[in-house]
Amino acid sequence: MLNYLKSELYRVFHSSGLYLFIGICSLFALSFNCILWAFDSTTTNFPWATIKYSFSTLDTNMYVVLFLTATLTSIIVVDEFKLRTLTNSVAFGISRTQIYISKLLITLLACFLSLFIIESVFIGSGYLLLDTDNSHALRNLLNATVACIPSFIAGCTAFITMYFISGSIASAIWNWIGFIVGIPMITSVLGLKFQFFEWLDSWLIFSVTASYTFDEQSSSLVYLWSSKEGMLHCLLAGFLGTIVFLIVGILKFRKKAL
Amino acid sequence: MNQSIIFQSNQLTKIYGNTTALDHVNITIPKGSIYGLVGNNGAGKTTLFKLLAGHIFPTSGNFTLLGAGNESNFTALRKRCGCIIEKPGFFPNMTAKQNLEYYRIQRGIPGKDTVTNCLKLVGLSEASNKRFKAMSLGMKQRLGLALALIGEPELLILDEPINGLDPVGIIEIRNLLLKLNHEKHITILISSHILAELEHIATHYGILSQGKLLEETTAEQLREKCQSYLEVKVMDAHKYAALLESRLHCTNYKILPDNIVHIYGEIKDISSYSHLAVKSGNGLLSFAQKEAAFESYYMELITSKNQAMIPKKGDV
Repeated sequence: MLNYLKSELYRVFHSSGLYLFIGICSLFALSFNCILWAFDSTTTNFPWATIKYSFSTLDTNMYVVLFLTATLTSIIVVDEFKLRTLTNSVAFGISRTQIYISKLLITLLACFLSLFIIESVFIGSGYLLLDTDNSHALRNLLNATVACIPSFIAGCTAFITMYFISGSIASAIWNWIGFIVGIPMITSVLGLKFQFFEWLDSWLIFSVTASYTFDEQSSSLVYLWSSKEGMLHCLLAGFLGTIVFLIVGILKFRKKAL
Repeated sequence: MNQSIIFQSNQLTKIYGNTTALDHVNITIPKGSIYGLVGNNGAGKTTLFKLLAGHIFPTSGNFTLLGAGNESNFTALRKRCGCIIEKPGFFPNMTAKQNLEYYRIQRGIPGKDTVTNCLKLVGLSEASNKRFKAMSLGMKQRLGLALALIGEPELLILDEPINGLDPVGIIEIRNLLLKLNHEKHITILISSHILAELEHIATHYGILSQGKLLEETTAEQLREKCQSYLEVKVMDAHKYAALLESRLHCTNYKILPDNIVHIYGEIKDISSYSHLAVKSGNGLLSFAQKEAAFESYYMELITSKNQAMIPKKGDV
């Protein structure tokens, strides 16, 4: 499996997909802060050119990072079924389980690398260009990132599972949207009436990454991960999601004809 | 386990829905042979290759590979095999060299020169920096062969390896396969639609039709079967056959449609056969001495076996 991992590392770093993804997302992150800075430079009393506003845009929309995780996964995994490159690896004697786990590990590595670089650009440009008032903006953003990392891992695992089951990137994308986004939409609506669905919804990774409320008393955002119990809940939800998709993925792919 | 056999299947069957792609096939591939697998489209050749490579799983039956019969051992044993099945798969935006390097690392093969040597072996040295998507069909096929050879395998599984190659390329690949077999004792399982090409290299043959193995034979035995014969066309083939038996004591013949009779065996006096038709007033329409090609033998075999497989009216 180590050799397969090395070959995947070689392939990923000799392909343009990862670099383009990091480049485009970093550019977007930089542009966002640049625009705020530009607006501040040309407008008097522009209140949003602060890291508090900038960083809260991200930590209140961590589900966007979840989508980006799935996007990057689809780039890294490549449509190997269509290219028939997977058959070469299997024909050589690399087991389907090894392929699945290796793909997951490489994708997670790429995701962590991307997250680190893009978030560094975002945070760095924020501190360079915007008003760094004495707020807990950076701490909130880092807390949000830590709380949601297991959900990102689960999202990545889910995509890989759906890809290996369906055998096509396009099907995996639709299935991923259905499972990761569609089901929470249904459970959140049903949860308004039925307690079971409210409870179920709280454990779904999409809901975890999109859960915050506005506290009118303190005029601040309150995240699910603001408390210790909430943070633990977030970590556990991601962990459980990862385990479920991992087991399903390996079991189904082991029996898949290529 | 018999060490002189590199692959042996036992009642190997693969069913897709209502279609039996392989039907209780028993194939034996001797070590060091070049085994030509012959069959029409849909005969089951690629299905067999895919089962060997682990792409699909058998419905029933089993096989031994490199002396082992357990599926759990095949993962390790497949590392000693190299294969091209259907169109070779590579990453389109990577060059030939990068693609092979990817697989070299994957297979844990030491030596960065391995890739260069493999490309040279298949005549792709000058195209090593060409992206796969920019390659011609022939070049892609050669790259597939390079991939199959990269780990110095003991068993080469080649599904139509000369597809897309020009005549010079076909000869080059043929000579390469013969060299690998003779010098490195690599066993080769090869399928091809071009029977004449297989005749140049195969030492053993397996003939598949509609999922069934019709015949398994050596090249030598096949040559004996593809013997020369007299083809005689007369007005009444049955009358002529009766005369063959009574006057010339010849029973080694076959009556074909259109009153054609093929006469086999040692023929000392050819003219006696033509005179027989003329003197009996049967009307000799044509008379020729012919060499049976593998193609003719194959077509005859396929036709006769397929007819035998078609259920007749009244059969249960």
